[in-house]
Amino acid sequence: MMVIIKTDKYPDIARPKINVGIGDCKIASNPHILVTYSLGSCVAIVLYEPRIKTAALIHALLPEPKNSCDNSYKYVKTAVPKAVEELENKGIQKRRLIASIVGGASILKSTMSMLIGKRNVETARSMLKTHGIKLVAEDTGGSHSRSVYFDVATGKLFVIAPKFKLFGG
Amino acid sequence: MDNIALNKEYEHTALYRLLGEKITEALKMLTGADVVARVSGIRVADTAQVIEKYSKDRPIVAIASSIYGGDIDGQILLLLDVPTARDLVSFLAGMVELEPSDENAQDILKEFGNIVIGNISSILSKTYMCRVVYSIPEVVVDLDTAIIDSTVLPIASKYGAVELLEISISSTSEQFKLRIIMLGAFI
Repeated sequence: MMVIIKTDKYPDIARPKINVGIGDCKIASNPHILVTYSLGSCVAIVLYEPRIKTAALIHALLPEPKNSCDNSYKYVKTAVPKAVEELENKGIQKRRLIASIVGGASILKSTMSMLIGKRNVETARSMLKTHGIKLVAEDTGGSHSRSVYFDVATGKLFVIAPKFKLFGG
Repeated sequence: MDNIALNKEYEHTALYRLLGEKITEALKMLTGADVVARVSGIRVADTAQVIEKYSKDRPIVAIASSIYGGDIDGQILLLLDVPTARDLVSFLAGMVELEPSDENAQDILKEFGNIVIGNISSILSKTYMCRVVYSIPEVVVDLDTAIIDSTVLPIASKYGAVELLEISISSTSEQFKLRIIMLGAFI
């Protein structure tokens, strides 16, 4: 299965880590850890095949492209089918995939920021439904940044949300 | 729709100079200190450069506002590292030993944001002969990457460019020096 573990510190897991940047997606198998840092209104979508222990981690910036699509993984709407296709090319069956969504925060109260975070999450849910992929865990919304560690071996999805203050501890 | 941020006229250094003069004037009135603010800027068309330059996964203080009116719709972020934000709060509070609760400090930073972004809005209004308004500035302390990906990047990646301005505030008499980065993305 896949479970979300919320923490305020980076987990100390001594296994090889694969970093996923903004507008990117990586696929990894056991024993790797898939990592993406500092999600604001962006969303991370994990597609996981628990039996074979292989996963894709997407870090998408916007819900959908306005006109032409310069990078499939930049947009939630194009990233999900692209990642599914990549997984299928590796012999993974779509019907066995489960998913998690993390991020989509409104770091600022401004309309633009709220709109994008919320729309990213809605688009992710909708795309997973379209592809018949079960959403098993979600940590979205709020007004704080999140980093994600996904342990492909165990299905544990660590969501790190550090707290910062201007003064004091 | 014209892309205001790409307009040559807006890039002109005279506008940066004017912004520097306005901020200097406002800070002198506010604090009574002998202070000079200088503004210099560049335009970055590649949003990946912005991510690389400003997204180091470090905590940062952002003073942010939405700005709109006429054909302008954008975000302005003033980015300060945490020690600079503390120095700015002390300076604006009159160098008084402040019991700095987060709330007091954030109110002071909002006031500073109001000065800077208010002047930008006024300059844009005059330049483009339309009423440019802005939302009340918000202060957020969070990871730089998260702040940038929530605010500037969604606009910049859709419409192509970010305006980077550096605001240096210094006082010769008190050896006071601050460096603030401003990111603006407009459509």
